[in-house]
Amino acid sequence: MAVIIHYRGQLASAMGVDSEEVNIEQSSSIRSVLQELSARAGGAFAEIALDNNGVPRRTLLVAIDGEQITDFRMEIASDVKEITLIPPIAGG
Amino acid sequence: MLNDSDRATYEWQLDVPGFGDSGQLKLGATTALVSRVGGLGGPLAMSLAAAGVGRIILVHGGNLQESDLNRQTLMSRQWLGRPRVECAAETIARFKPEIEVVTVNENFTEDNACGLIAMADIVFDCAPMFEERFLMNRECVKSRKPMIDSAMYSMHGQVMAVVPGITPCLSCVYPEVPGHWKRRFPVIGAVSSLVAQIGALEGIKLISGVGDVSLGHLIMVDAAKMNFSKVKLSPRRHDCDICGNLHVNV
Repeated sequence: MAVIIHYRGQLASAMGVDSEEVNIEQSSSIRSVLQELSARAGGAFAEIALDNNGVPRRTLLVAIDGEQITDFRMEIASDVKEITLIPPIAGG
Repeated sequence: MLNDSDRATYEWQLDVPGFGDSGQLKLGATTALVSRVGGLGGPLAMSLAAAGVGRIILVHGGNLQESDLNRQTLMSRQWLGRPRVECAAETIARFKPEIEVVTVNENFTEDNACGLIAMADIVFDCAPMFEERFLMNRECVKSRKPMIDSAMYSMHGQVMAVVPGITPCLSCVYPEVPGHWKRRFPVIGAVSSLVAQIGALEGIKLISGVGDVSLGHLIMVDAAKMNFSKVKLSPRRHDCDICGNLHVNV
């Protein structure tokens, strides 16, 4: 299914785009999506999104259709339109 | 009661529906603490002063450097080498001398955090390091004081209001210090100023009661596309080390 993924902050820099349409498989989870994106982007993206064991970092804020989700293993519903990945930022 | 000078200074904002004398008096009776007076905290503090916040505490250690000048709009090239808080206070005082400005030429540390938060009614977190942000968050939660957290990176910005016991705190949202964050980050001054104004406005609304504060939401700015959006945050985490055990009567 096609989903728009929005990358914020350092993830946008790491991915080279602010957002893109990505095809994800039915029954994917945020965890599996992050693992696939990290495998594709590598480097800084993977470092921000995943820990050394390939588990999503607790510091990554993820929103589905504008609402934060905290269970990254939950199956992504088939009617989801947007996923937003928000790493912590602090700059001033 | 507003005096003639107040009325003359603020007459245009007194007309904002829902603000009026009551909102102005609340601002005037408020002590706001702004952590750092750089690209975010500087313009934010200026807007608080312009709006009539009665007392502003500026907390920022160190002296003005040339590389600050693209974004730190309270500064001036002629002040290079001077303490930033002194420069910021001078700009604010020139703008509106009646505002009481307290300067603290230090950053937030374990040693000064408790005392500084005790002086304030509301805290504006504009610090560039997470250690400081979490420290302010912890102390604000402890003392049940609201904190407006503003942050930016490159063309993106975000603002979140923390009202202890009601909204998620910073540690609910980010349970640990992120390892990847670097002190040096890309910034255009207009973006940090834009985010600062959103932070200032959330605070002004919280103090004065005008409008609706986006409690429980993360306000997000994408200045590259000029998009503004919000994320609805999950409720407070009951296992949060900082606010998990906090009970507040609403």
